This record gives sequence, structure tokens and C-alpha cells, in this order.
Amino acid sequence: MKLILTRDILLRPLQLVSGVVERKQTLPILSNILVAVEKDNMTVTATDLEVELIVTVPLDKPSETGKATLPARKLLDICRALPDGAAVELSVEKERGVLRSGKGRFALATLPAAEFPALEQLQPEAEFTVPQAQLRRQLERTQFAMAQQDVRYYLNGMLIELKPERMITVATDGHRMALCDTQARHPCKQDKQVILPRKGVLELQRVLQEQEGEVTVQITGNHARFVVGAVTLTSKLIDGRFPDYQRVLPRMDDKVIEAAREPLRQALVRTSVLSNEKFRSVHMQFKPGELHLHTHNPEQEEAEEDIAIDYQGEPIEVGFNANYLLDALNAISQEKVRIYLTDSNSSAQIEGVETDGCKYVVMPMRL
Amino acid sequence: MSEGLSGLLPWHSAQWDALVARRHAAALPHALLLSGPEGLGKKQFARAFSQALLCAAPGADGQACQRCPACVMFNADTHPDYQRIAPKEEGKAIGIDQVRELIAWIVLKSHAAGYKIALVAPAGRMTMEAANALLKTLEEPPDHSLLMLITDRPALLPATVRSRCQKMTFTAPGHDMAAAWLRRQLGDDAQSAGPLLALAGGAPLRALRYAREGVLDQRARLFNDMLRLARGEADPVALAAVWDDFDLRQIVHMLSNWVADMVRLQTAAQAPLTNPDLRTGLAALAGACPGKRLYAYLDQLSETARLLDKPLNARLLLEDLLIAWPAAR
Repeated sequence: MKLILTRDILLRPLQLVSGVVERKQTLPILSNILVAVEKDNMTVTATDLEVELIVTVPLDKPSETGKATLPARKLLDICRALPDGAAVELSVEKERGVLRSGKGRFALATLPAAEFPALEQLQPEAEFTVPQAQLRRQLERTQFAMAQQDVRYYLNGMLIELKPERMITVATDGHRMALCDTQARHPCKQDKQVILPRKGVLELQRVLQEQEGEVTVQITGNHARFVVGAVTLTSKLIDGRFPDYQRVLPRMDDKVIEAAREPLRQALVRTSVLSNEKFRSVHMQFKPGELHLHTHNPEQEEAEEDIAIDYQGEPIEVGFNANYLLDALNAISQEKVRIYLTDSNSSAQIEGVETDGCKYVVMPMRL
Repeated sequence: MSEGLSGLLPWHSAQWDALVARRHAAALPHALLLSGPEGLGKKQFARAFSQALLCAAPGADGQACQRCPACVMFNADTHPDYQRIAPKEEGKAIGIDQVRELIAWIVLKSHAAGYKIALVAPAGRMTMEAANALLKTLEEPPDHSLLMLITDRPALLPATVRSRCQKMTFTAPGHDMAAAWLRRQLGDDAQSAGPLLALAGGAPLRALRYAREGVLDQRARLFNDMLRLARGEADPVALAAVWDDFDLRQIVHMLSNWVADMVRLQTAAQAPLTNPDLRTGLAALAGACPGKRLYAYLDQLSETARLLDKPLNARLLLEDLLIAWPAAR
């Protein structure tokens, strides 16, 4: 294997994949990256066995094909310290990876490429494209509700459901739920559900940042792959069944409240300062035309605030975790929000007044 | 691993065939508890079976091909669908964090769309919290996963763990098979196979380890010292200083073997012994002390063995044992 390129062309893929190269590695080979040179391109692969990132770089200078694994961190540190635009020659000689630049020569230890646990070619059961901006928006608006290290392991990720002409993302930690339903053109005739683990969601968000264009999504029985320009991200899926989220959506009843988002959000931020630090409970009294917020904590401190709302029904009192309400209000980008309530023991559904497919459900607290 | 120490061992064939048959019938259990004395190659068996399950082209006997990409990765310990947890340091426990990491891995789908296999060895080293954390997964693991727990002391595992696993028991092979295998491994030193096997309770891998550690020489020296102690030619405290560097577990094991043989000799002069090569010396010792003291000493030995896992001063335990040596005048 041998290739000649400039420092900047080599540095970019190394920076992109370094996020999945874990610090505390149990398998030594996982702190390495796989560099594979083909006729006119090079791929750099890193994996932590959960998420795999591949970056493809076209090569214009003649190169010798071959594969090798090289220590990711050290290669990145060397490249970063080389001057801008320096010419770099990378080759494998006697099981050592040798990087030459100017008058410098760096010989790195390699591990056999055949031992690197890279994924084989996938046989996708579904393949389609979505605009990057749309996927990014969908992830941003649901990911905050994912559970973290919950024993119900199927909640430690995000559900991606394909229905005819639609793609729905859902996340829940058992106390609240976020759902985003958008249009997508995909070939799936039957409904399909996969759960992308938390780590895969966060890495995907990183890859989607500040890029325009389309994402190609490939789904197999065990993996989901996202091709974003030169970057291919593949994540394992969670082996489990996601709860039936439709049953969590409350029945739409007559208690419909409309309120300006920002004043409600600010009032909640202010009053929640004096709520119980652990439970963050805020007591909400909805009356015709007015919402009364009340919090108190074990130190006998309390906060009260009234804000104007658009509501004509019977008075109703419900307790909520202020953080969950705030997460939902932060994810909605519209000026006005609508809240659906049933009674004081049922969950509330929050959404923007203009239908955009996003819905948030928050369980009440017993006060 | 040297030749013969990877792959399947001759005395594994019954267990192997049973598992391979269940694999073909698509009736593999999701959790297996492999138990049996130390030194029978249980871990090796579990590893070989794991590799065979992940191999793309296993042979007619169900063994891994050693050539396919999956086997290459497996042999390099980088196969993503195989995990093993063990104590992080020798003599330490398997903690709850290790079990949690294992669970986080096993609930993800497999890399190669086949089995996911996890080995917990030695399973008895799991702390109570770790074992409890594993229960839910042990009861209802995701499809196509196999958990193999390995232990030489199943009684150390909580009943809740044992009852959630199917059991597979390994017993020491017949003397002829074990001795033949051991002689092949020992090469030039083949004649010591008999005493080594006797010392290792018939467990061939343990016998081989003894051979590598030179345990037979140690044994001869220790026996000589015990004879001197019995004749009053040696001082127990000085002896304890000499043997301080040696593995006390090993010393306790040998002393127990000898005292058991002495009890046998007191019952019948021609009784079959675990240490037939030491018959003359043992008979002399047995003749010099009353049976009651031998039994009391056996009790003391098993108590010492129990205390070995505790943070006690090994030198003092050894001094105690030497001072109480029943054959001493």
C-alpha cells in the first residue's frame, strides 16, 4: 500500500472518524483505523463495534492498492502537527505504517487488516433518500426524550418507523415522549420499525451538522446505514421491541389550551427555580383565560405566577415536571403552542399550533 | 496457545456432540452453565464452540474452519459478536460495571447477523450485585444470543442464576485417555504423567500446568521437609520461612492429599493411594501418630483452604499448619 496526498486531505477524514475511536479500548485493534487504498480512492474506517464511520477520499495521484490498520490517535496527532499543505506519503513497509513528509519519517505499528471488525457489504431491506435538513430536524426534535442506561434497554435509543410515504421518529424514557412524523419517499410497502441506539443517534447528528444535500438511508435486519456525502455511518440496531407509542397519545378531549410559547417557557423557568430540586414539580391551574403556576420546595420557599392563556373549559389542576415541559417547549419553534388535557391524572400532549408532525407527551405528577 | 491447547480436547467429545446436535436442531439453549473441576478445559470448550457458532463454514464434526474471515477475527480476539468477561485482575471479582457493559452489548443486534456469544468465566467470581444485574438478561436474552457461564464451584453461584441456565457438567476423563494425552504434551518427560495426574485429581490441563510449574520437584522437597519435621530435625517456624514464597493453596492441597493417604494406610496397609510413589514415607508417618490427630488435622486444612480467600497473613497460616503437623514428635 502506498499513497501520496496533501496533509489537509488526510487530516479531514481522520478528524471525522476519531470520535468513534474510543479512549478506553478493550480490544487494541479498535484504537486503530482501517486505511484501504483502491484504484482512485481511499477509505478510512473506524469502529467501536456499535457505530462504524467510513470516510471516502478521492485520490488524484497514482497510488498502490492495499489495506492496513494504523493507530488513529497517533496518526491524527502527527498529521495535525504537520504544516498546512505539506505533501504526505503514506505506505506500509514490513508491517509498519510509514508516513513521510518533507524531511520527517514516522514509522507506526500496524495490526493485520483482516482482523479489523469492519462490516461487510450490507444487503439493505429498505433504501431511500431524505434531505439532510429534514433528518437533522427530526432527530433534534425527538432525541432529548431518549432514555439513558435504562434497564428497559429498548428505550435507550430512538425508534425509526417507516409507514407508507412517512418516516416517524419516536423517543421516550417512560415519563415523556417526543414524536416527529414527516413525509419520506421510500419503497417499504409494509410498516417497518427499527431502534437506533443512543450512541448512533448522537453520532449521526454530528455527521449531519452543517451539511446540505441528501442522506441515503439503508436499513437491514441488524444495522442502519446513513450515507452523507463522503461519510458513511453505520450503527447497530437495538434488539428489542419499542412500546406501542400510539397508545400513549392521549385521547383528544375538550380541554384544549393555547398559549404563547415564549412567555410560558420563561414563566416556567422562573418558577421552577423554587421547585423541589429532585422532582422539579410545578403545579398548574388552568382557568378560563388564565394559567396559575405554583411551585414550592422543602425549604418552604415558593413561587407563583399568572399568565394569560386561551382556554374556555372547566378549571383543571395538573402537576408536571417542569424540565419535561421545558424540553418540549424548547423543541417547538413556533410562536404559539397548543396543550391537550384530559384530567389531572392523565398525560398532556403539547404541539405547535401549526401542524408540523411533532408531538410531545408529558406524564403528570401526583401532587 | 501451544499445539493441543486450542480447539477441542479428546474428553470433550460427548458434550461437543450434544451441543452440535442441538445446534442442528435449532434448539440451542440461551444460557449454559458449564461446571466441573478445574483443569478440564471448560473455557477452551466454550471458546471452541463459540468459534464454531460464528464460523461461516464449520466442518462436518461441527468444528470451526479456522480460515474464514470470522475465524481470522475470532483467533485475533477481535470478533465483534464474541465477548468474554473475567476479573480485571487476578483474584479480584467480576463487578457490576462489567456485567452492565456486557448487557449493553448483548441487547444490540449482532454484527454478522448470526449469534452473539458471551462468556463469563469464572462465573463464581461475580459479586452478588453483578450476578443480580445479569438475572434479567439471563432469563430473557435477545434472540440468537448465548450466554455461557463457567465455574468449577457452581455452589458459589446464587440459586437464582443457576436455575436460569441449562447445566452441562464436565468430569475428569478416564485415566488412560488423560495419561495418553498428557504424555503427548509432556514429550521427553512422559514418565511423570502418572504422578502429575494423581496430584491434579485426574484433571489433565491442571496436571500440565503442574508440570510447567515444576510442582513435582516442589512436592518432593516439601515431603522431605515434612519427614524431617516429623523426626524433629527441622523447626516449623524456620520451615515456614523457607516455604513462604510458594503458593499456600498448593501446599494445603498436597498436605491434604498426604494426610488422606495416611488415613488410608492406617486402615489397610495395602490400600490404594493417591500418592503411591510416597508409600514408604507415608507409612512411616502414619505409624507415628494416632488417627484422631489426622482427622483433626484434615479439619484444620480445610479451614485453612477456606481462609485463603480472606486477607490474612499467609505466613502465619503456614506456621500454624507446620506447628500442628500431626506426625511431629
